[in-house]
Amino acid sequence: MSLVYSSTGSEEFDDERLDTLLAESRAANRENGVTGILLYRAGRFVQFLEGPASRIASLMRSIVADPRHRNVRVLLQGDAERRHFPEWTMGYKRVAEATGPLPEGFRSSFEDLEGGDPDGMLRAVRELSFWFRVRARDAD
Amino acid sequence: MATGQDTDHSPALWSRVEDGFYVCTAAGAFVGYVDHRAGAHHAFDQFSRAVGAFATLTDAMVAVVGSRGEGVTS
Ligand SMILES: Cc1cc2nc3c(=O)[nH]c(=O)nc-3n(C[C@H](O)[C@H](O)[C@H](O)COP(=O)(O)O)c2cc1C
Repeated sequence: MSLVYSSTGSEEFDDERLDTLLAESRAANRENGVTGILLYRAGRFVQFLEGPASRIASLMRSIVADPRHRNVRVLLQGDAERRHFPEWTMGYKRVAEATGPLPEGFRSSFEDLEGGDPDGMLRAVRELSFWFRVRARDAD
Repeated sequence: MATGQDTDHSPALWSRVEDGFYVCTAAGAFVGYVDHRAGAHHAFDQFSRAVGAFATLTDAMVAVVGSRGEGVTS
């Protein structure tokens, strides 16, 4: 199954804190057959998780209880025919907060993600996943 | 034959993910994206193939939307 949630970091996550979190997550995910990506932007997390339903369910119980973040909000959850991030035990990117004005007629992916409109949320999830793939390819 | 014509009429919708990175979708499907780097707006089609570099975002958007329906093997 696949699941996407957002949350608010309890404290400022500097590189060292994030490295620790990622190292432990990747090791556990490799063991559990979980893949996905984690985005960090303006003190907030967005995480995509995919893997066996029972694993995702138990992982989410741990994640919800983790004091390093709060306001964990599941945005999307469902059966997945295939993995979108099979090669990432937990891909990570920090997303810079936009500073310039939104061009006229444009939507904001991060606003739509939390906006409550199901179509907008789904679209935003796809946009972020797409952005991640482009940036990951750039980094190669 | 690729004509450069808009073969799909669902409206194109643009979203900003971060400054300089804009994704275009139509009815939930990817149309392409624009990535601003080194002073130019680079346009890419749905397969992330470059379709040109432009001075303005508007020109890059036109190029992305113009790539719709091209190279689709369906
Ligand atoms: C933002 C965030 C993302 C996390 N992602 C994962 C993850 O992908 N995999 C994982 O095993 N733990 C992840 N964790 C850590 C879990 O919350 C938890 O610490 C870990 O699963 C150990 O849980 P346990 O003490 O209940 O065994 C994440 C924590 C945070 C705050």
